[in-house]
Amino acid sequence: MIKFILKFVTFLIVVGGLGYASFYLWQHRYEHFFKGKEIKIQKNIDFKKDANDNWNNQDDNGENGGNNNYADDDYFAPNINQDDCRSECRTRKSVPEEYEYCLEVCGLNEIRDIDIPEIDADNGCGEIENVFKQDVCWKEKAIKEKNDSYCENISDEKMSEICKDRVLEEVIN
Amino acid sequence: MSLKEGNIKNILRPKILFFLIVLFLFGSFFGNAQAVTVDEESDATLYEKYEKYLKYEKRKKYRDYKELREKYKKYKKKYSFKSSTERRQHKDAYKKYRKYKKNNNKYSQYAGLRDQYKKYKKYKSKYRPVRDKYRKYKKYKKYKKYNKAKYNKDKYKQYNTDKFKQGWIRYKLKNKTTQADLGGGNLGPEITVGLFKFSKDDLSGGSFRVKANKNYVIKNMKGKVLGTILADTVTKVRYASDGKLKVSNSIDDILIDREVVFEAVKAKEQNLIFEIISPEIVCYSDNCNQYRGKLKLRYSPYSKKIWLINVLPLEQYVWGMGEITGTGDRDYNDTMTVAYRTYGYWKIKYSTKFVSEGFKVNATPGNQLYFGYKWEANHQRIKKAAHKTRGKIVMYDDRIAIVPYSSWTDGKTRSFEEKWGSDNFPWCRSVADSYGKHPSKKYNQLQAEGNHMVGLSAHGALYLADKKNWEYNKILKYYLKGINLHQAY
Repeated sequence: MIKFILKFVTFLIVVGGLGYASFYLWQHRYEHFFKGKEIKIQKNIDFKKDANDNWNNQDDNGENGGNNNYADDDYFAPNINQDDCRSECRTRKSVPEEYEYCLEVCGLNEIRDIDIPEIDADNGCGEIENVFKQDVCWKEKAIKEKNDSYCENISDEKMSEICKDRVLEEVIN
Repeated sequence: MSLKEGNIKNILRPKILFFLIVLFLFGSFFGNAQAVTVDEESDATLYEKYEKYLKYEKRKKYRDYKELREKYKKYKKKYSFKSSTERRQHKDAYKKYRKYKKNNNKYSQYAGLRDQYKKYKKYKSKYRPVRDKYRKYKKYKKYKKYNKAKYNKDKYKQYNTDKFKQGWIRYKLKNKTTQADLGGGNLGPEITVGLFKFSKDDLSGGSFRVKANKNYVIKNMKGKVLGTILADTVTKVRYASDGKLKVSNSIDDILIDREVVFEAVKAKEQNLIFEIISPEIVCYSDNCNQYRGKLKLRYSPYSKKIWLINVLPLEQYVWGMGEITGTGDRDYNDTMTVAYRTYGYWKIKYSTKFVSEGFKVNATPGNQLYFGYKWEANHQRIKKAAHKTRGKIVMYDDRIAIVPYSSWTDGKTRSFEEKWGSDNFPWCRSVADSYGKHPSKKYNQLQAEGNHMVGLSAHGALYLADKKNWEYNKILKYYLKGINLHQAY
């Protein structure tokens, strides 16, 4: 009887072990046995996607470049760091667009040399074609009216955040 | 079965059995180990994928915005009016012609308004819906940077499921970043405080005179040491011309461009105190001519003023806070030092208002009153409270929760939104403040005196600390909803 029980338990362990191992291998069959094939397939897809990307890029560029209204959308927004601000943006002076952007981001707008139209109710900042000037205009308006909702209209994310903080400074003053 | 066969089976059976058991155990271990690894990786992967979906959506929203903007411009040109007067006239005509349409006989005099009616109708039905939608979509302008083909892949849409979102949330929580990342030693990050401003004339006629209780050095704005000065030796500075400052008395006369810095010989020196001898600097307490840390005289080419700036660790700035005298209850002092420190911390990190003048925070009530060392020495209880709460700032989730405070309220505080329109500061909600209510003055009077009534109520906090024995964290959490106190350094 003991022999039979031992045999039965052994049988159960063997069947269980084999079953579990088979199940695990079946579950991970792609990882262990078809890895190479999958990568190959993936590569093909990527290649196709690259081709699509190029096509899409052309589409994007075509839309931006082909329409004059959008040309101004793409003002250059470099990554401005603390060193730039400490040097009062002198490090960026060789590229005028970078310099002006740097002054705005660092809060050195008093040295700004760009022409921002007068803000009034009828002729809002949204009417300005140049998007950088439009952003600066929204920032000025937000600070002047102590209303950070105007900062939402700023296209550059960093400038939008700085605008909100600047308004907060005015408000809590 | 032969004996030989039986022996072989007897020998092999335990070995096979042993092998199978090992396989079983190893298989389980291997499987589990894999599962754990997959789980750990999966949140990062889910996060990455859900991020892709979010960028895909942002790109889409930006493009919708752009499309709408064009449509809006086109419709504006075609259907809107040149002035509000013209619009009103057309609106009036529109109403009248509608009456005519309902009753031709009674309103026959309006029959000639058909063109104006049609124009206004188009304005109303075509232009206005586009304009309203455009206004809603304007906020997506900021997603311009996502307008790239690499974010436009249809497969990213399939990541918009709960599984990916939950993984994204878990991963974000695990790798949570905080705004309070300025570091600093035991005394926190450095703050620059604008103490006083002088006109060119102020420092042309008379000179700025300073000395220190220990040896100090004079540097120019590039950090070059111009001289080491003995304790108690007075240095004079005058405005020369073209943004140049003339330094004399303690060293040979020298012209320095825009900025003169006075600081301790050893950077770690904490007990050096500068004393300004002239011009006479008067503040409310008549106690503001001694300062810790560094002093700077800086000419600003933008405002054409010369600023006296104090540079010191945030904690020492709190020791010299002039917003309280420290005579109130201990928990009230603790509360105020935390609020004061939080404001300073926020200013160091985000302030751009005085950048062109060369500092972050002003020492006047416009920002926070700061009186420096003499005040600190005469009001030791403030310093004690600062020690107790050292490095603690108020945060809302991972944001530095700037704490507006005013002396009195009219019985309740106001939410930030109610007072200043923005809903970006959810911790500033309106709460009952019967203990901070001014005994006689009404809302308008209090407001005229500078009590905005948003955030912390100083008198309310004083009462809660003194009479109700509330601790500073309880007081702060009462006035500022959902905040936590964070050890910033």
